[in-house]
Amino acid sequence: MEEFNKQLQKGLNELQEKLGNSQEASDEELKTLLLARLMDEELNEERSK
Amino acid sequence: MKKDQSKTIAILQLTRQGDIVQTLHVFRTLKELHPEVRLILISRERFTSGIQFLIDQTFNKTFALKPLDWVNKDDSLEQVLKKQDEQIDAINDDEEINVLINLSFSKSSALLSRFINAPYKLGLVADRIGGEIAIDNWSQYISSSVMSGPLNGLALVDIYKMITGVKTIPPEKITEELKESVSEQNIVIHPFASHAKKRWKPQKWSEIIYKVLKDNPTLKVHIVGGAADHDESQKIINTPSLKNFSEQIYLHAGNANVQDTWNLISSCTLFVGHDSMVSHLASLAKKTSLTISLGTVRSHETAPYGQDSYVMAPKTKCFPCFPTDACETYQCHADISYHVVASSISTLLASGQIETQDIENNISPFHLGSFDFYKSDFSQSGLMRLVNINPHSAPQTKVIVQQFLRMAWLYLLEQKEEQLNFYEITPKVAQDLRNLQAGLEHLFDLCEFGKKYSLQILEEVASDTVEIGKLKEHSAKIDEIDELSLSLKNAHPYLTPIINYLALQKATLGGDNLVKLSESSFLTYDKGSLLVKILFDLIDKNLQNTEQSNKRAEADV
Repeated sequence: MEEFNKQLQKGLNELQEKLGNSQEASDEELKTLLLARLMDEELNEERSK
Repeated sequence: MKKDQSKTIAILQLTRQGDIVQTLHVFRTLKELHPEVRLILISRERFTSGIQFLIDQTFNKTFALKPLDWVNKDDSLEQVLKKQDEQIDAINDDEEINVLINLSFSKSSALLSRFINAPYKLGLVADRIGGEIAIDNWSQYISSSVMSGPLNGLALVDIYKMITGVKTIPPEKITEELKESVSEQNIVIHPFASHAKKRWKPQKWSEIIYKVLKDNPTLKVHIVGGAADHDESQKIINTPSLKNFSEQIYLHAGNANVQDTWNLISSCTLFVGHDSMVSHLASLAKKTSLTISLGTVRSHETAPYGQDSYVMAPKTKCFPCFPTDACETYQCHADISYHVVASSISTLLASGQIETQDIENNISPFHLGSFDFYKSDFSQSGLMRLVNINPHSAPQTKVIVQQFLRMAWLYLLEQKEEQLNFYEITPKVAQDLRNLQAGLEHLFDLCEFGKKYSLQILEEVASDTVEIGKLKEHSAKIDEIDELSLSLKNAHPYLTPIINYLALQKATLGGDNLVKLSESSFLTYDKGSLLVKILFDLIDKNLQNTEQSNKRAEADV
């Protein structure tokens, strides 16, 4: 899980930089963003229990 | 394996159980009208699991996502992404979706919508830079009005229906036979909600239950809730005043699942509670309900959908607030007294309904000035609206603007005309409305300028000698107009939904060349002018009506 989180954060940082420069993202990058958002929402729900 | 069906509609609803239950209202109607349509629900397992028995009554198949299960202890990002891909592929391979409708309005749902195959998509879809685009008019309305503040005057269920194109038919009235079939009187109380802002402290519910049981000696009270509500429910019943009523109180919180709760609600006379998933269950079961809206709850948006839905909403200035707003006093909790709730429950048990006269007869005016008491009603166009039946509650500016905006949006986006009911307004509200008219005049001028410069670009492009300098000049003027429009929100917050909508439309202008873009720009400003004009005229008519009433009153004196 720790390795996964590290890699996810790295992927998101790279994507953030790209989107910040108004560059289009690839499908793979957008899927990483989707995964990050889904995970984030799930963990928020877990925390609010 | 793909199904041999003529039409498959997939609904993407990633938000919570209450939203799924409201979604069920829409698609239950669609299924009744078009039983041949195959309906698919894409949702989260954590929200579907408790209510799958209800979902299965309407939807042919559910894809329930469990993202946390995609991650095993030592998995790499690549491995987890592969599992996500497998889930998306399962949807795309299994189903030939004709229309995908995303009703969740979250970033994750917009991204997921992008990767599900369908020739037609409605709702939010992510673009290539990860931003969200609201495709249809009503989704744009949600993004600009519902997400931005409390000025939406339409029920979420009706907005979903209009996004989907489901006919807006009023639900059937709760019939007398249905009421008479209840052999003994039982009420279900759900005194909980997802956030402390949205629910009263246990003590207030103890007082209500005591008063109701004292006034209705044969009544049985069922308290429902989830496992997390068990301790609070104990606090409600373990008070000295309720000791003598222990045989009439049944505690189910923490002991019953959602299906048990549904069965209980289905056989009860009346549902009472805060705005929550359970109040939406009551409306799905077509039960008379009394909802106490507090904190962040927007009554007009999420009141239990159906006939005989009664809602009490405080008139506290900051109500409804945002979930992120800090609050220590919970003033809105104090603005509805337990007396009025208990008295209203007794009236509903005795006669099945509450009219203005009942409030006048049974409740002291001392308790009535601080809250609105709404009863659901359906307009000729089949849309739910809440009518204030509290004779001692003067309408607030925000409520009047909300209702006038509702009329303007329905005319603009659906060509539906609703009947105007004039409000009796106080001098303070009249002054607020005149201020708003000044803002509307300003916005109207900006829209007209926007139309003018959009037209000038079109004329320049059509001329024999196109001057790039002039095109740039007109384009710069349009940018200036858009900036001025946005700054108007600060001085006139009631204009926020309209300005947001225009900005959203401008951000997603249709067309791939200057001519088409300028035409779209002209049409957007034209919509703005029309919206502003309708709102201005509605306010004007109400102000004139008030002026005439005041003159008549003066003449009578």
